[in-house]
Amino acid sequence: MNFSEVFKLSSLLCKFSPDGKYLASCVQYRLVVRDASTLQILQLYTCLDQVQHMEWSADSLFILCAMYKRGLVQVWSLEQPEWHCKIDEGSAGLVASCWSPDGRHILNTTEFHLRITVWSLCTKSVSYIKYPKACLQGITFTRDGRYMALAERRDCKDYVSILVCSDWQLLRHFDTDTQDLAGLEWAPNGCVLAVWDTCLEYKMLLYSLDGRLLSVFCAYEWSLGIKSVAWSPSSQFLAIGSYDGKVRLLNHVTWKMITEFGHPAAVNNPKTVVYKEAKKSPPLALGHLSFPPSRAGACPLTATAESRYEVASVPVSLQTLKPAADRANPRMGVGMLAFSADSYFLATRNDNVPNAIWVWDIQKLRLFVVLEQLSPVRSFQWDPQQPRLALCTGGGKVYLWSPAGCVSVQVPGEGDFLVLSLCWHPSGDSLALLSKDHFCLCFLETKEGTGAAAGLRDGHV
Amino acid sequence: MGDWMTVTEPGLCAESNNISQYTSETKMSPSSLYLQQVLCSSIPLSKNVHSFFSAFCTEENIEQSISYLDQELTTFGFPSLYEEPKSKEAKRELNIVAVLNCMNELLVLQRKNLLAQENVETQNLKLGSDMDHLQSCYAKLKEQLETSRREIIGLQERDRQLQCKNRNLHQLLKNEKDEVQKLQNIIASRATQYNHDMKRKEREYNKLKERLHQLVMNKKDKKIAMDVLNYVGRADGKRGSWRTGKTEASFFLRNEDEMYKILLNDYEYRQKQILMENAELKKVLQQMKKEMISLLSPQKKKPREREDESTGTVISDVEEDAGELSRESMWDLSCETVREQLTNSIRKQWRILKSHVEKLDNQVSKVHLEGFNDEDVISRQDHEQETEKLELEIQQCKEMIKTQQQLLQRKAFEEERASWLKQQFLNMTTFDHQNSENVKLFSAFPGSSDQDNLTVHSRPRQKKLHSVSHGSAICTSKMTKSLPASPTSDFCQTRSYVSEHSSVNVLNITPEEMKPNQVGRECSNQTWSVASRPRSQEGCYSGCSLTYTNSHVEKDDLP
Repeated sequence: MNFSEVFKLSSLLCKFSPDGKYLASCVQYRLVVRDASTLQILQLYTCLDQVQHMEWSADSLFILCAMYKRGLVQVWSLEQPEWHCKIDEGSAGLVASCWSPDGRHILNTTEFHLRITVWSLCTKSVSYIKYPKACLQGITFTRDGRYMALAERRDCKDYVSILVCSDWQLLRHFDTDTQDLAGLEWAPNGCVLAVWDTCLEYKMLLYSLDGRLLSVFCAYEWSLGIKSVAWSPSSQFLAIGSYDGKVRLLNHVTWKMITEFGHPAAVNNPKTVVYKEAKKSPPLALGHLSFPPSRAGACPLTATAESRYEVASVPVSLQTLKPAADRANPRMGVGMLAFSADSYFLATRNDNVPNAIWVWDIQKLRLFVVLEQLSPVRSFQWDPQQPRLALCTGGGKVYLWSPAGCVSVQVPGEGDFLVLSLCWHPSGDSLALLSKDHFCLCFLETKEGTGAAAGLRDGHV
Repeated sequence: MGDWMTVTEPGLCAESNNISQYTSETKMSPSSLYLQQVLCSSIPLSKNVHSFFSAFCTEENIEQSISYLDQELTTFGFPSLYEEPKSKEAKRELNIVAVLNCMNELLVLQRKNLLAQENVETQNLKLGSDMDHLQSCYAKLKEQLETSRREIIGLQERDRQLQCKNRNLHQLLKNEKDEVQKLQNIIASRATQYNHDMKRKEREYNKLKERLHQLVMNKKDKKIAMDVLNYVGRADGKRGSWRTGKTEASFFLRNEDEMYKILLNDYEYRQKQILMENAELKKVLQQMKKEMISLLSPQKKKPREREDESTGTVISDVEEDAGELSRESMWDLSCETVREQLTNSIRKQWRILKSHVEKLDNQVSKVHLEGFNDEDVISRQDHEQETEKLELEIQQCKEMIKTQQQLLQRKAFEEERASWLKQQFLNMTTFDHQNSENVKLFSAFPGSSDQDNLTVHSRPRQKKLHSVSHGSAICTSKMTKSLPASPTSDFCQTRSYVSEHSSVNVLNITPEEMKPNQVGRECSNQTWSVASRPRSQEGCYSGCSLTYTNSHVEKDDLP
């Protein structure tokens, strides 16, 4: 495992190009494009204001930079550095901006979600989409980029519009039986659309591509409902994480629940392996402890202290957090869900137990591994190619798990590098680690080398 | 003299009844009866006194009675009734004063006794009544005690039941309270969520109002536009198209088309997956069934093998195979009954297998107990293995035989074909110069209106030896005369005809039958497997060679 130098970054905007050749990062109002393997700067673009959102086009030829405060979107070309494009939403304002799958249209959501403007880079045409819904996930594209599903709200009712991306024609428009649509997502095979309701109402609706309602799933009433949703890459399963701390898996044949995964604070099954991050006592205890912590982190000591993974013997009791009962969006329930690329594993986080990640074996439909960290897990992501999970807790380490074992690696560098987020390279060979002001790349060796090298690092199981 | 204390005469009883009426008011208790008897016996009666009293003393026994009385009185302590005797021999004179005094004394005593008796009687009565009273009180109290005891038990029982109920109600109350609490919590969380959302919406609304205000005030708007250096080509490299009414509709239809195609593809793919899975599972089930059957019927196979050796098993295998094939095609249909049959048969076999295994287990345990050596068991296993091996071998041998047969057939065919071709080639080279002459003859024949023949005319040089012509007549006897007779048989002659006239001859023609019409008819009766196109030389060759082989087989006189 090799670490690159540390480079500047702002707003956690660092993304690999879809073809894996480049890495784009934003520093204030500058956009820097580097080569993904050598990290040599290839292009440097200057935007008009601080960039809030940056996105690669699907063909890796263009990058859009959105500046919400100014209502501007600037598009840069990699092939032609002198090419420029600026979209000014003016008084309409801008709250969100994204690419269409063909990489030639930009969808801007104006302020107050008044409309979505579709700007074309090839023609002079502009399209408008009225009444888009202001929700967390109101737009979703199919994986092959043919269709777009959009949530709308008119006259206090929710609707879904399916548009054909090639010519922005309306294919289907239907109303949904939801109180307040919270999100929608296409299945990876592009034939089924999952639509779910606000957390006040547990309701998951499944529509076919042609707008027919295939099934409705409702696990329980009254208590807070759906918190997170994920499709398995093979489109066979739909995982629904809810506020009651359970994940329910629906199967694609009957759209009925095949199993539910609970997340209790006590792990009892002897077949489950629990990896606990344990602090290693530093050799010169007093000397180190007296050193004043320089960063305003949550747990400065744990950030600097050495730690490694230990296998804890079952039964294990995990640290829980009691959520404030009088606050909205309480910190309970399964808030983070992700399937591995081969659909064999599902990683989940129960917000009541924020320090732990549960990894479920989907072939056997049971709990496989629990990883317990010393601090709350901030983000985790699966390797796009193989079943390998990378996670970070806001400390100076990055943690990797695979069925062979897990490893925790300290990010080297002067001073502390607190990993707030991470992002895999499309080939799974490297990992970008993002902190508040910097980022660095972690190059993972090929399969033959990983095991041995990882074993040598501090913290290994 | 009777005891006058206890004498009760019938007459006296009547009297005593009257007396009891007057003297005692209490109940007739046994004691009082006795008292009355005493009373009546003690009180002297007014009537019948004289008769009663005269019974003691009469005119005759005065002296005796006086002496008796005197005796009695002196024993009681009274003074004697006799006067003091003056002399011993003189008769004692009755002392009247003493008698009167004694009588008075006796009367006084009598009165005293009566009084005392009365007192005692009254006291007795009193005591008796007291006793009665006490007894009745006692009985009453006992009853009361019983009833109160029973009451207590009953009350205790009720108390217990009520306590139970109380506990249950407490429990229910607790449950209800818990549920209420839970619902309250839910309501509270929902309320906070609602409030939060409301607040968010309100904030947005306020912002909108402000912005609207701003816009209304601010007349000069910033232009909404896109400024681009040059337009980029489309991702797929195509050009954009004009949008007219017609194209709109076509776009719409095309989109619909594509969408349905995608959906159908997905459904088909999924169905295929499911069918494959089903087929695999069915195969597994069938295999399981077969294996189970084979496991369960080793005894049946053994005698068969000993008798028939290979043939027997082959036949049975063949039968089984045939049966299996037909059954397999049935299994492909996934109808309800077929599925049920399969599962039922497997279940049956499984049950049989289970019972068999259990039997074996028992046998084994028996064997162990009885101390037999295990040779028997092992030998059976070995035997089964052996039979399996043998069966496999047999299968392999059969397959080998089949393939060898096929190869042999083919080889023979190839050989014959090669030799026939050689002959053909030879014939062609010898009779080539006569082609042009005989073409004219050919054209004169009737019934040869086929295009094939005409085309054949146009290409006399080409070796179109085998064009099929249904009505093609062949020159008959003339030809036979004109041509030299080859040393080979009739068949060779016909071949030479073929080479000259470029038309296929009927292979089964004999020289006697060579009349055009007949030949034509025979020609037409034949079914040719050869293509009728004169162009396809190869095909013709092969076709004819096939028929050649058939006839060859029949004729059986060619090299």
